Amino acid sequence: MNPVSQTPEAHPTDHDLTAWLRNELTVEQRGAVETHLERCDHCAKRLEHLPAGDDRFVERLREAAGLGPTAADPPADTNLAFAAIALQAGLIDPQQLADACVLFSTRAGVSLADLMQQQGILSEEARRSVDALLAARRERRRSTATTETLSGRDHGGPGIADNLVLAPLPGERLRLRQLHSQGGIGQVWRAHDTLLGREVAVKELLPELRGSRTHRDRFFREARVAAQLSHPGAVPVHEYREEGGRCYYTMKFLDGRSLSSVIRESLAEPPSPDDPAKTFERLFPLLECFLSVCDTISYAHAKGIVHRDLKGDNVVVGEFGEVNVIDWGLAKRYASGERVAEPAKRVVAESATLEGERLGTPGFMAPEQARGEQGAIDHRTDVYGLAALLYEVLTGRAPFSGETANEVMHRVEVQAPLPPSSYRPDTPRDLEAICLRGLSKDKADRQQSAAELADQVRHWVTAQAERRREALRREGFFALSRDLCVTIDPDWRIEQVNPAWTKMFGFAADRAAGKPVLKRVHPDDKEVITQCLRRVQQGDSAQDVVARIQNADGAYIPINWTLTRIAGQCDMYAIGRPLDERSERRRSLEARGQFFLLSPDLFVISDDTGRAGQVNPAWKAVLGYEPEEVVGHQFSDFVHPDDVARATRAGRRALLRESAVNLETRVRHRHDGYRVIAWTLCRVPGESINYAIGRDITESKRTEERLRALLDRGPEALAVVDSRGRIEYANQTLCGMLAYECGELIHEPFDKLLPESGRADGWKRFEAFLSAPRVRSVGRGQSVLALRSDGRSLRVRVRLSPLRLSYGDLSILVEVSRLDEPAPKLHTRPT
Amino acid sequence: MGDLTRITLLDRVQQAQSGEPWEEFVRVYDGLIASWLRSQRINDADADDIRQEVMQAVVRDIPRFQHSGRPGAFRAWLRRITANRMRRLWQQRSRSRAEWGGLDVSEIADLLEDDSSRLTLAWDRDHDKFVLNRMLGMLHGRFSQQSLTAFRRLAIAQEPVDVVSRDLGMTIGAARVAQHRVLRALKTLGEGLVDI
Repeated sequence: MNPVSQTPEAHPTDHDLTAWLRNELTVEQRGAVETHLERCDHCAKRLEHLPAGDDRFVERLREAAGLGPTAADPPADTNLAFAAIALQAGLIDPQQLADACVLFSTRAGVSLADLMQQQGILSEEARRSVDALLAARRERRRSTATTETLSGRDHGGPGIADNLVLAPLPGERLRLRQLHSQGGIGQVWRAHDTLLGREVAVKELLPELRGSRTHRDRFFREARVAAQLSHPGAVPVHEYREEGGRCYYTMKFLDGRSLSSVIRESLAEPPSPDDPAKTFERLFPLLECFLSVCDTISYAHAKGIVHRDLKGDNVVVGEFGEVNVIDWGLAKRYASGERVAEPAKRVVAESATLEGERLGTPGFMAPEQARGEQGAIDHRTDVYGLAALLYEVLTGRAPFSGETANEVMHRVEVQAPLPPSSYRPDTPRDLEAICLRGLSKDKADRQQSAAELADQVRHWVTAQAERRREALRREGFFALSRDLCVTIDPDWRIEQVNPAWTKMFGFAADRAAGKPVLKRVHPDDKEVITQCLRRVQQGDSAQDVVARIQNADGAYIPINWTLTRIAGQCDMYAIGRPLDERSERRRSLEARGQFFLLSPDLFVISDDTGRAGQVNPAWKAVLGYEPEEVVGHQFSDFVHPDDVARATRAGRRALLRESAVNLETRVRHRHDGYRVIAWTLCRVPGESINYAIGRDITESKRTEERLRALLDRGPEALAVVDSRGRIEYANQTLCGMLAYECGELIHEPFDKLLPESGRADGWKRFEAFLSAPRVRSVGRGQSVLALRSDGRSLRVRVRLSPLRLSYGDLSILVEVSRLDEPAPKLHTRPT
Repeated sequence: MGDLTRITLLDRVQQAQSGEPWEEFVRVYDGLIASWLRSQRINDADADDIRQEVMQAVVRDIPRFQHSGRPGAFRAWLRRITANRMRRLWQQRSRSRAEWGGLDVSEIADLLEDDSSRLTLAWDRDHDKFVLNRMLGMLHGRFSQQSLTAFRRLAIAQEPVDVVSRDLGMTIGAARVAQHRVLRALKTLGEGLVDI
């Protein structure tokens, strides 16, 4: 192509214009054509006769905008019609139809007719006859139903219900199964349609009312009104019959619960006035139902029908969220400009609503209904009804109540309803205002249509949803981050943590929420973090703060934190990243130096022969030696002769590969006797020197021995558990009770003594105790089940007391008293 | 407005892990997955889990996504991710609750994975419709209201050009040029994502 060098005055050729339409020009060429076109209507008009190229993109756009041919719909209709005719003609049975439908749903691009033929359900000949019937029916429709729109939407014209009347007599066809409910003039049966193999509902005029012409008319009118409504939110009526003196009509059977019961369930949650998100979460599904009801009612109004008995009990919510408005028994036609489908076969007096009868449910009734002013009833009566339904959604009750129906109706006429927030303080103010406006006594003060009411509610929902989406987006970002993210409230409690948190520390996000932020911080880092949080609260941010956080196994993981305030809120936001190895080593070196100087513990670095190279000032404080009296000497000079061999072995082992923990030796004090020192030995990586830390446990050893003697002699069943839940000690009485040897329990987690079902709870209680350690009975004195070694369980009562031994860590004294004889063997013995 | 030569959303998203195009992309696809799952009647909690997992996978893997050149490669890629996540959720559910009575999500996942199923056909159509609709929305601010209206009325509503140009106070040619510019921008924006 080599066009478009012309001046704006020279008209582009057809070739140029086609290339422009197809987007095949360079930027400059394009510019020239466009400049020309903008001035030259002549050329612009030529465009219409040129091939525009691929229009499918535009077609798809039109579809997206809800215009244009929607490729799927017409064939689907054809499929359905084909199946219906084949079924009616007796060429296939319901089971074959069901089978074919299953196959149909899994295959693209095959028509139901083709499929039935392929599967041998229909012969070629049979198929041709169905096709012919289908074509004939189409022809008939085209000539009669001129008002039918291209979209195929039903406007109350003949639908599938008409076809079904051709089917065999209902007497052979309907099998009543059970009485489903009973109302004012009718009763509803659940029945089985044997021909189509489906559940239907059959509503029958009560036998005692059959004799009354008025009631028969009213019943027929109800069926007719309901049948006018062809809307997903109204129950489809299949057919109406009067035979053998019985009047009944069949309709779709609805499986579901009433909206009232859904509301009741959601209101079981206590109000959360401080958490609008939670309130919204509770209300959202209910409001969705409510909006569906509004749409259905709006549709009915367009057909000139008012429902007049709107309340939660008349709305059925299906398993998949389908919302149906039922009980159109009180529905009435009212004068309206857009009436559709006037009754043809049979004239039914509008006065079928009995004079002087106040119809409806008093608490939900509009004032004009309560006054019995039939003439004043119009679509705004339903606007009131919808507002009353909204009132029920918000509060779980009708706008008015009272002892007697008359009392209620009097209130409906004269009193203002209590604002919903007086029942539920968390009621959103805007919704309350919408609801109260709809409940105005004067029709003119209400929203003027169901659609207007729905729009107001929908607008509120959308605005809230938008706000929530924003929050979710933040949360989404939060969830994707590999860094640890925490939000902290002004009281320094964890609000929210991200999934990375779970991965790093091993406990679930919801277990962290609400806990004090300092709880899992290493005791030595608490001060630093406290200062940081204060600074951040005052508006600073803090970076590169290292704090160790305890994981689910009790180990501390060093994390580098950055803390800031969330703009415009009181919350703080901390992002953490685990320290990498190098900075961790540097940090630990510094920390080691610090410790070395200040620690009350003994430090000694010795070479591979056991000669001390360096000691810290604690040697003076604990054992009375000056450093120079220790450095250069063999450790055996200080250790009790009986312990030397053991210590030598441990030292060698530590040098080779492992560390030695809790090596207890007696070490000679410079002035008097021996002290008991617990040593931890480890090797400095890469060098053949030992690093030993010793703690004087002489006192605690004595305490422990005294305690042990005391516990051993005690008649109660006792155990000592450390702060990580491991059993340090269990006395003879306890071991006897639970059929263990004493040694078997040492270092085992305490939950070994609980049946599997009680373990999670056991840990929960244990943690609760740790967070506030004071003497208490587990479960406020209720009994718990303990598990014996033989798998039998035992009902016991447990008391916990904090036990602070002198070397720091908290231990817990567990006191167990038995309540009954061993219970029978549990089914689930832990493996 | 400038020349809107290369504003392929896919390219820009693949090149950067943040910024406006990225947010636009996430908004569109988050909405698509959510609405699709809703249309399959998967309960809200599950749908939420699946959506989050799908988006996580998309966000993680999109820089490595390579368009094979076959029409619909992107929506097929997304479809398989979705099917996978649905199946994974289903497996977790069935492990944790043997008596789970809800919808069999794995059945939907199987159909969705099957390139020739009816559900796949619907997926393709829904994807294109949804994404195009949102992209049309993204053009606000990039084109004048007048140009967008011209496009809507000419290309989408297919109204006669003389009526539209008169209403908008444009020459017929200017209206046509606006129509085609917007169409071009839309095609470029959707390149790689919506292949027709």
